[in-house]
Amino acid sequence: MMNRFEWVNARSAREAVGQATTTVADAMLTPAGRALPTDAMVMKAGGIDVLDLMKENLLTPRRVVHVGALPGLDRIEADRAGLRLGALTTLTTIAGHPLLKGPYRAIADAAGHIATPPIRNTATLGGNLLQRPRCWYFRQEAFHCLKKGGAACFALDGENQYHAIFGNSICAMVHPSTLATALVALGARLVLTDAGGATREVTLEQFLVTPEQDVRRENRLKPGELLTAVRLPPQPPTSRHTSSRGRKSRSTGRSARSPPR
Amino acid sequence: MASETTKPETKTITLPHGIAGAGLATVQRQVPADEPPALPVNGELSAIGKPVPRLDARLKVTGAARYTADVALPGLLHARLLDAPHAHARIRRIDTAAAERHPEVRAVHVLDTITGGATLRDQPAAGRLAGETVPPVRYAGQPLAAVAATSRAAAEEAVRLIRVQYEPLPFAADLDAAMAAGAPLVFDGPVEQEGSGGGGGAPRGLPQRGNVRGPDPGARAGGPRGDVARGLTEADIVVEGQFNTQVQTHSALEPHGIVADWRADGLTVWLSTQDTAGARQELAQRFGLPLSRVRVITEFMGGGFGAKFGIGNYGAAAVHLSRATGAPVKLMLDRREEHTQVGNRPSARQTVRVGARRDGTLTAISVVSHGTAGTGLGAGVGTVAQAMYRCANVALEQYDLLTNAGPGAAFRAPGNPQGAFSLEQLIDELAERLGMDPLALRDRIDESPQRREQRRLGAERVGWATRRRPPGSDGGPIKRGIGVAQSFWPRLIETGAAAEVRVYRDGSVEVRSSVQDIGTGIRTVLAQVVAEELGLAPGEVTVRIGDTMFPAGNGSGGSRTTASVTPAARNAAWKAKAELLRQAAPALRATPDQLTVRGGRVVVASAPERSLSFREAAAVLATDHVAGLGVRGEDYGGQLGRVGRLGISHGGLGGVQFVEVAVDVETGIVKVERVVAVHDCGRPMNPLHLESQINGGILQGLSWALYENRLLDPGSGRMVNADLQTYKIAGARETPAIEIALLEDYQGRSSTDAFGIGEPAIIPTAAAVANAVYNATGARMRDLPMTPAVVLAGLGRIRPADPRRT
Repeated sequence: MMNRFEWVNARSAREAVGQATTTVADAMLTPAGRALPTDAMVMKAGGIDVLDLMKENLLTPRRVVHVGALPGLDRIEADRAGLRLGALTTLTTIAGHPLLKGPYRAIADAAGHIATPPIRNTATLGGNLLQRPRCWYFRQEAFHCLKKGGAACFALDGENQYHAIFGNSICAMVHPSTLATALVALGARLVLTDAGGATREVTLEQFLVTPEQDVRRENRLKPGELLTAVRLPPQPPTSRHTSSRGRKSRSTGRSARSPPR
Repeated sequence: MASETTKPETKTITLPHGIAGAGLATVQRQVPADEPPALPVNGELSAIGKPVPRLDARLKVTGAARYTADVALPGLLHARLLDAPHAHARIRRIDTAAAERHPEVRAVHVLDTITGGATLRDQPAAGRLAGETVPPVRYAGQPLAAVAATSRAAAEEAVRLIRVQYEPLPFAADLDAAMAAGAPLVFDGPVEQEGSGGGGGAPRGLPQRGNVRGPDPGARAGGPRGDVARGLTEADIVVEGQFNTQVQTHSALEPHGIVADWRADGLTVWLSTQDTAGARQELAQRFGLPLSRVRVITEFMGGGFGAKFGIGNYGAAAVHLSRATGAPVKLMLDRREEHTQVGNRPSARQTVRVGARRDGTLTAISVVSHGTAGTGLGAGVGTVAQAMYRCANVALEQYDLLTNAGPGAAFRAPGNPQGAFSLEQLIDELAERLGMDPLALRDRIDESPQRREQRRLGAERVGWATRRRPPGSDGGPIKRGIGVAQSFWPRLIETGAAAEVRVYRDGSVEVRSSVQDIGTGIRTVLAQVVAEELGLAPGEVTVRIGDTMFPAGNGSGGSRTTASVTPAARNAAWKAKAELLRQAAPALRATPDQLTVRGGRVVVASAPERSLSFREAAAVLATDHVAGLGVRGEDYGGQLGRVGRLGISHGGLGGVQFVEVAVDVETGIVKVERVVAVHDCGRPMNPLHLESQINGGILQGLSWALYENRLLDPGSGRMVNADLQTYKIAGARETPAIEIALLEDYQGRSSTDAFGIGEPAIIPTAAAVANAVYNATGARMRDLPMTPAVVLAGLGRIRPADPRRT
């Protein structure tokens, strides 16, 4: 259940970045024994992750800036520089988009495997890339782990059969974004806008941060920055990509070894 | 007006007996004179046995059906629980002052008793230090207190304002920790736990050392017999193995919840319960009220699977809060609380040995099991080993391990899926070692005529003779196989279950009983039964159930609802009809015994041109309505025995399931592709609902076999996957093709001769999956869930993981 908070419907990117001054990662940091900060002003798009964090009392912001209705950010376009995917494009749109075929097929495959149809209808590309880890220790208020400003990773000596098997020296979290894997493989670049209206572009690979680099965050998003788009460079016409995951079972007939029906 | 119940005379009737299509005959039984004549086989009926869609389907899919969470009353308060973060702790102090000062809070209640688990034998209320007013914390997530406020958000906020001073204690959250020398004691002394209305619990007075209680020799369903040591020496061949099964949480879609409304003239509660009458009884006792002043209502329910008997800690808290505030109080559990504090299927570690002669005759079955139901009892492995096969020497040694984990509860066929998982794999292995077909071996050792027919039918459907190949036949990384396993479940009935049928002067008809529809479809089946007796269509019968204002029906557990309440409803309809015909006879210039009802008319049997519509006949009634009260009596021809308020009918419920899997031996992923399930349930009342329950049993069984697993953090004892994202349950993508066949099995045991299906349907599934994996790969899977890691370890491709069991 959530605490009280202000709700702002941002009408422009400039308004959004002006009203939201904290990253979700910063808003979740608290020294041991201290209450969570209650002055944070954070953004949300689909809200799948941010509202979940709030319901679990892992995030107690003063203000939530809704960027989900910003115009022009919910579409996929092709130009000479490749593809431009608006950050508010839903996973459902990505999964079925006609431009995401051939070399871009992996992205549609990945999006189509995430969660459930109702979630894919609401979850956005930007939210998927910026969500916090799904580690079950991180997600429980009772475990004050390194990522929340605590002193330990509980997974390292705990129930960790679904945690990272590489790069787990201090924190065993797995990056939660299914799309990120496919996007890094395709050389994706992120377009970010700050409060001054300046934009910067960075490759997704450079944008992401490992626990060894900084355990308290998963990316280099700056306070007051808005992710507006993902750019995909043109791919050689002969390249082929597919995405597959082993979760409960092979979920579609797409992967090479899925038992044919 | 209810008919007066008098000591009935008896009469002799001739009922159908045997399996339709496989030796159907008749049987004569002495039955009470006030019960209706024999019901013909389904083929001769118009409503019973027909695929009548759920009468409430539209209400459910449109959201109009009112569940407990939907109940809204003027002045309703909302309550939330404070749950303990420690697995084991004493509570030094609870300070509720800050919560009480919250402007939207109306009351705070600190629980002075914790129910749902075992209690100390000698001082049930104790286990506390001098001066302590609250019980200790024995598992992480245990409720401690509740707050009622004007909104759920405020209640949640105020719960966080309660200050608790804990003294954390060492804890033991898994089997090995609880058994270790010097393990922390979950309870300071020996404990007891009665089963709920759905089963579970353990026999009284068993020995207890430390956290280990038992052995329970399983003196049920045939029980221990003979001399197992001798039986094993007489065997030509002995197969044995250790089998580990995990904790599964009930995960009903609808959480536990209550709306309690305490008034000067009595208490009304809306409760998601499998037993409205039982909950009324508990509320009356607990709060010192006469039964006449307590009303329990369950209009619609989203599943229970055994965990929704009694009022629970949340229910008691809500009633206390309503009494304190004079306002109705709603308390719905959240998903974390569902996973941690209201029940689960206990774990089991079984060592099972089966001895046999060369011809397949079983000479011995020995089961030693250790399992944990957390702070509760009831981790035995059921009745499969005692009852499935003919065997002169059977012994069980079942130990309950007390652990600092959420208490178990009756869960769909308590113990039997665990028991079937081990026994049915060993029977499969025995067949192979004897060089026999697994079905042929069962034909030799299984005396059940139902299962014999089910094996025959199922084998035909699945193509057993032609499609099943030797283990590990496929060459590539994907290996396919077919496996089979069987079900045993006792036929349970609740005698005394009652229903009333009213025929109103306008010709409308109503059936009333406190029995609740937990999702199985009994609401529709009752309409079918009454419609059949009155010559109407099911849609013409109004069904009023799930309310203790009506005659007390049965609790819904042990697959007993259809067996218990449908005879009561038919008996009631027959009595109401008799009164209707008595009053209508003069209008047709006939005597009542010359009249019959069919096709919505009251007809003179010998002169069909003389008839009245049902409505015209009812119009002559001297009173607003006529009514019949029907009661489920003892079985026709007697019963096998009783357990508490339940009767055990002769014979058992069977079921044979065939499973086809594809196993990827490189990734360890098992995919169940097809299930053929053949079941019996006495007279099938409605094939649509029966198939729906069998689908559900198979899915819940394969979900347990492959995915579900409660995981407790070893450092804190807290459940780490207490949600539906990380607690994996089979979903649409994991659902196989399921083909179902039902036997029409007449036993002549009651006026409907119907029995249940909920539990038999889950019992054999995991065992059949494991046998199919063996047939696919040649490797035995003795641990659940069969995750990729377990499968790869079973295949010898990776080292077994640390087998930490909870």
